Amino acid sequence: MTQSASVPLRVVAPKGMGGWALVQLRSTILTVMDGLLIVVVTAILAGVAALVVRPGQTLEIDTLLYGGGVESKLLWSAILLACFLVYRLSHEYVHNPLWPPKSGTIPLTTMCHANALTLFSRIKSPITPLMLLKELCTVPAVVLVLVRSELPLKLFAGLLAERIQVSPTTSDTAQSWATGLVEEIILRAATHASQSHGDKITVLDILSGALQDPEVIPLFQSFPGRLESLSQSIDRVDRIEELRRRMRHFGGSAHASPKGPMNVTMTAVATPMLDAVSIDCTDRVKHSPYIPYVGREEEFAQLFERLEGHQRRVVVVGFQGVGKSSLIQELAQRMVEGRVPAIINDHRLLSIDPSRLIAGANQPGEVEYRVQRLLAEISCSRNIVLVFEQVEQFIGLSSTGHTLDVLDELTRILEQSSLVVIATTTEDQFRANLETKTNFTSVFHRFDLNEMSEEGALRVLEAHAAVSEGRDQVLITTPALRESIRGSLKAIHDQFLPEKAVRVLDQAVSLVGSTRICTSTVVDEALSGMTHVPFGSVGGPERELLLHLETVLAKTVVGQGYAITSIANALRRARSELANRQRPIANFLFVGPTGVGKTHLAETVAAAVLGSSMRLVRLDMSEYQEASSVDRFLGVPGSGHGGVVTEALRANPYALVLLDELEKAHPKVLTLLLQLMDEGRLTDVTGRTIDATNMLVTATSNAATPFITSAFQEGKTADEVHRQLLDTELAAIFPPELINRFDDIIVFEPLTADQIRQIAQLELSKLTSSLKLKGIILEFPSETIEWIGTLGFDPKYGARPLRRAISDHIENVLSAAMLEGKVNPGDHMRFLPNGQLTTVT
Amino acid sequence: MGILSLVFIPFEEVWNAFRWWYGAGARWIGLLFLHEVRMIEERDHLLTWARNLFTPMYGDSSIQGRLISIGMRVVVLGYKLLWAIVWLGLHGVLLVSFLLLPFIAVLMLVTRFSLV
Repeated sequence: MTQSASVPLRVVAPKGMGGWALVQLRSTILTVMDGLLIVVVTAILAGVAALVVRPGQTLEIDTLLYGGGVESKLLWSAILLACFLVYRLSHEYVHNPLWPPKSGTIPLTTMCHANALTLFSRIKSPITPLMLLKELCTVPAVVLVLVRSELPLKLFAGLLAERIQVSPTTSDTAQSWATGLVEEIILRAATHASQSHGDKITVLDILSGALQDPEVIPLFQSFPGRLESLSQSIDRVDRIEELRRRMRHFGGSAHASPKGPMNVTMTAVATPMLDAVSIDCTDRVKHSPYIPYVGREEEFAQLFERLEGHQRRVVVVGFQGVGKSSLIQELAQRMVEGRVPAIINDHRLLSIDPSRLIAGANQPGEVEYRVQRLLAEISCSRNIVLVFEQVEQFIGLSSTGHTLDVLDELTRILEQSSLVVIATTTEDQFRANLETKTNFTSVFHRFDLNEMSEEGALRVLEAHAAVSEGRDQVLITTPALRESIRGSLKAIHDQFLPEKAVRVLDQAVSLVGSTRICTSTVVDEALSGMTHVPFGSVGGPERELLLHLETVLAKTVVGQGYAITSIANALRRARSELANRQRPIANFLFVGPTGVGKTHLAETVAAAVLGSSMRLVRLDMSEYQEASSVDRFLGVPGSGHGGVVTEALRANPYALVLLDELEKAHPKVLTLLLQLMDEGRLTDVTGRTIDATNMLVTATSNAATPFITSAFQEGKTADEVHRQLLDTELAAIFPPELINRFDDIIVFEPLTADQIRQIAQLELSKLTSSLKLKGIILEFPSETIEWIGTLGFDPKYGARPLRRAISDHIENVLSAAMLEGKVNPGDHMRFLPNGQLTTVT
Repeated sequence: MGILSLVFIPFEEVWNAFRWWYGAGARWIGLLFLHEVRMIEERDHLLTWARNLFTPMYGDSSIQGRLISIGMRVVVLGYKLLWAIVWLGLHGVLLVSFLLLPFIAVLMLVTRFSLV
């Protein structure tokens, strides 16, 4: 510990095996002594009482105190012993301001809690940090922390036992070395204790000190990330304890505060209309379970600063899920506790409910009347803080066909009053509806509530988990909390922290099985279910598939090795989370003549990875040739619905997006694709953002086919063709910024006669398989494959003529034979090159 | 640390008890007293009531309302004040007892009853 080195404090640990036995003995003696003390003090006091109330004899108080008789002696002895007992029973739990001492030699026995000391006394000397850790792992509080950090306990215990066996512990030098190390751990534990809870050293403080030991740290090399999780879990215990303290304090305050609409000083005025149309937030929090709100201390300080200044009307602007409602709830809780500025102390926090405001108003002008009365009541009362949650709802309230802008009416009155009003709204609503209202913006001062930081969100999740653990009887690990934040940041882009992480955690808790432990794996499962994007570590069949993806693809795609390798690498990068997360997994452009397998490769990739939930979203760009196609893409403005494409992408966030025949799309549509391919997102007309960071974008194009065909015929290499294609041919068809967005432009070479024969073999084997299901065995000798390959070969059209040749020369013959009854289930046939079927005997 | 050291445990503990009693223990009981002072304001709002002595109750600003309000507030404030004095007095006794009782007990046992 760096800090301990600079502090001239020395812990004296007992030396040798006998020393630790003495610690144990000492601990036992003290426990027995405490018990005896209780008995003795009780006995003496009982004796004194018996003497005082002896029948027929009255004893004056002066005589009892100063008389000098046996009862006086017993009484004063009992008082002294009782004082000693008070010390014995409370000294460990009373914080000493001079602790830990800055310097001096302190016996270990005076630094630790009794339970921590018992831990030491159980260990056979000499103690090494590893032995200490092993013994720590038997303490229930430590086991709970280990489980919370997802450390595999059995594996860890085994490894620890192995290491202890090989560490030197027998010689005198080893003993002195070991004792020194343990002293270092105790000093670290003391520092941790003083920084976190400022009390005597607990078992968890010792664990924290042990985890920084150079001998212990290498143990965790086999368990990556678990050392940090352990430290975080230890600190989490302290934070949960702090929350419990806050909860107790709130309970006391809620009990002591006045109930109903009356305030402490009884200055409140009856507000029947206001009570009818509002929700009393302060009253509600008094009767609801305490919900801790953490991570926004700075924002609260700023808000109070404004309220104390001249900005008494504040509109809190923030995206959905950043915690606006929680801010109001916490404000109500603080008002109950009195932890607010004087200007709003002893006030009620009332949230106006727009539906109550118009409910049952069936007479013309009734809403106006209610609003006027409401405002009159507010003006008379002096103990009200008004809240307008989602303030935009008050803009066009209507009843019986009469529309009234309540907000305008309110702002008009508020201009002349000193009432404290807090409104909330989202960023979008503020921009769309409120920013342009000059009277609103002149009365209300904008207060931005930004998305919470990851650390802040972690504190929120810890508090949420503390409530959830008690309510749902589950144990939520610290890596699960971190994974909820990491995963929600990665996969959920239209919501904000901390709410999106809380939703993920809640979903994970609902998936917890019989173990009742919510781990990061369960969170990954929840995330996969919520977003349809695979999460968590790659394992089992998925790992095999990704490692051998080229082989799997090559089974159905002939040639095009470069394209296959590029796609396989991109998918591996994405799944191992090495890819840039602000863009799609990869953007590819496949160019080449027709029939060479561009679309087929994309379909094959989607089919191969389909097992791990990848979907194929195919967009035929020839359908987007007009400028109006943009509406089909993003949705018609004013319709309130997203476009065909954006909705398809929203439904399939983990997909291979196949943009077929890209060159046919309208330039406006191509511009939309720029955003999709560059930023990994697309916003539809309703303002919702589609996350494309888990999509593999593959565009195909037949553009520059004559050039590619002739270039390969001239014997140019693929590299030369690629370079020339980029420099001249594609630049004439696609805008340069679009070409730049592609990670790779893959040129598909025209298929050779040999490759056509391989494709023929693949296609015929598919036919054989389908016939096998009908009980017919059909053989295609190599001569037949050669024959059909020759018939289906056309360098201009790739594999398409082959499809026709198989259809015309094989499938037609087979279907006719089956209908004529020449081929029946159970038959074994051979297809000869002349198109004839023979029976194999 | 030998086996003989166990004999000294009671003496060590007496010395530790003395240090704790007039160190951390005294601070603890002092803080408890201060906490009670704060709790009295939090629970009974004495200062808030004193500040609002002339503020009419229930928003009734008429002369009669004001007079009734002042009278009522004086009575309630008096009751609250009395209760606070009793409560704090009890805690004051506890504080003083904590600080003096061991000292007096030793003094009585040593001087008046010639235990030593």
